[in-house]
Amino acid sequence: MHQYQIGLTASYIALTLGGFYFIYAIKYYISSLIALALFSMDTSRLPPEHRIHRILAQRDGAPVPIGDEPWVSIHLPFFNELNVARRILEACMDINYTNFEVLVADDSRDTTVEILRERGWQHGSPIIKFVHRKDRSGYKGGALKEAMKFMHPLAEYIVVFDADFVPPANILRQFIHQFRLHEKDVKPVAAVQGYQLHYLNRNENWITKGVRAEFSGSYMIERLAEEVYGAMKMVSGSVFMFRAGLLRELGWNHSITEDWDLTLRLYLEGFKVVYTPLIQAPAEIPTTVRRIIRQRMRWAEGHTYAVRKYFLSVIRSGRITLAEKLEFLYFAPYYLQSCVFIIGCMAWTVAQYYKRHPVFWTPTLGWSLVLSNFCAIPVMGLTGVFLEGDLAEDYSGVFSFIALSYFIMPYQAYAALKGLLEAEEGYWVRTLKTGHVTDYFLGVKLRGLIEWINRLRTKRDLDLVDDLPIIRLPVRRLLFFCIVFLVCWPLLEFVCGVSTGECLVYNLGYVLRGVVNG
Amino acid sequence: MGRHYSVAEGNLYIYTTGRDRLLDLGVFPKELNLFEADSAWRISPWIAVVEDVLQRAIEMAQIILQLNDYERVSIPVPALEHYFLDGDEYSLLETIREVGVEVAPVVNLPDDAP
Repeated sequence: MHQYQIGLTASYIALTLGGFYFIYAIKYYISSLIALALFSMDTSRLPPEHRIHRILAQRDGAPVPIGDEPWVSIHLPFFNELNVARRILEACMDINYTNFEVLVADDSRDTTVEILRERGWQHGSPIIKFVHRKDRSGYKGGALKEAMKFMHPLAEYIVVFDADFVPPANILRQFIHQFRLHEKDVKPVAAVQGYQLHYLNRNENWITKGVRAEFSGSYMIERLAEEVYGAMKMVSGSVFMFRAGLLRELGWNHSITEDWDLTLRLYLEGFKVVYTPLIQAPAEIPTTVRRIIRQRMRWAEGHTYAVRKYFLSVIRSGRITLAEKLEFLYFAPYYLQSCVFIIGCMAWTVAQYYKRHPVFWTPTLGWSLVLSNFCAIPVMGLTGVFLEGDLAEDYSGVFSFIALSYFIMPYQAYAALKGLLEAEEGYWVRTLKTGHVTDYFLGVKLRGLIEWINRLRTKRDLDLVDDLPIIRLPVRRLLFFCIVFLVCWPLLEFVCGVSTGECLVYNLGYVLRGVVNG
Repeated sequence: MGRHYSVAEGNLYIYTTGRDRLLDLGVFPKELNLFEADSAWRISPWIAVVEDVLQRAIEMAQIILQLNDYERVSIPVPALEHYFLDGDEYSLLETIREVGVEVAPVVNLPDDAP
């Protein structure tokens, strides 16, 4: 009796948590399908004003005519950036734009200040300003708030890059072009978010490979799909352009996830964020598990704290659309999802051990949920690196990512719970940048991606695509069928109740037994 | 064209106009704590500002600035702050003309001057 109760309870827990996580999984799979479809569709048949054109609009040339360039203030928050300060400042000096300044908001306590006071930065074109604080109050948000006090009065837009990024020369024109594409949107655009391409040291170790795959899934798939179905999108701390007037009104808060806090406040004011994967700035990837854990714990704590802080305001707001609210609800327990998955799997194992489950639930339903949930994020990562044309090089990163994500899961869950329950947020833990580069990206990769997209869009004969490996089209189909199978199997199991999969597993077991027995 | 500095509200403003470029800020000894990690400061291509400078450090800095041909000018703080924001030297020169250039006070070099 006792064992019966344990088994049955575990099975209900497993079903509940598995089903909860499956909602996330479905979103990941549908996002992957959307991205696959988007990058292979013939957009020439769509009307010119169709939103898909805006999403895929890339401008590698000069879409903003010279002489028609609004003032832009680039803000670079620094904290002990000895290894990367010179690199990003030099990249900013190479930006192909006229009316802009670079404003370093520096909180460094080390010899970074010696780099900043060098006379070489004081050319006047572009204008480079340094604002150094003697304390670190408000962390990154505090530094950016200070920067806003000293930016050029004519600045119409503000762009933020973290110190480990290398912005390409045409990035400001790309950002402004996106703003102009969305000028007539019903909901005004507050910010354009670009792709934080964590790439520069992707081959440094197994961790960097894993994070590369993770970000590829997030930025090439998840956020792209959010843009397609008009969900809430986040300003992600770096590689974004914001309307200066609005940011002056909203201001920066002193949160440890100042970007997410700002995102929620701009949506509450009736604005939105536009995302495009085709504005890209390469960056470094944290190189040790310890650094990743500390970074993710900060994200999880700050994120959950802000969700708690703004939850009712967002839900009640008349300025936020239903799709945006749903995305917010989905995003609210984001950092607990891997925890949900692990506990669900453990409960499932217990239920299997005692061979107990509700009558409407077949073992195959459980296995299908486990498989489908387990594969969701890796498949999204695989699809991401595939769409970027890096599948052959980066597929192994997906395995690293799986290992990494389960390793950091308890830390993330602890931080999320801390953010949910604590009265005040914790402190900011910075992620060290090493300045180590294993892969040069810059314009070459971006051009390759754009050329590839254009080729798919023009539907030329495959023979013309001579530099693309032939494997790509089968991979696309394979991904497509895998995703459809992984979504449909648990659903069919659940809806039909009769397990076709059970027969499959049973038969497979029979065959295996036959092989073992000779 | 010119090299100027001002001391106002405890802040030290070092600035240039025309083709003059700011001096190398590394000339200030670390002991003055002017452009170091533990002080609050700002630098633009035309003006460098250190906030809340100790009187002793200001006296020492004045000597160094005068040795580098900088002259002291009393200019309202808003004009200097505005110069930091947009580098509009026409407005600044206009203000300098209005207030006139103040002759720098004679400073005796201390024994431990750099």
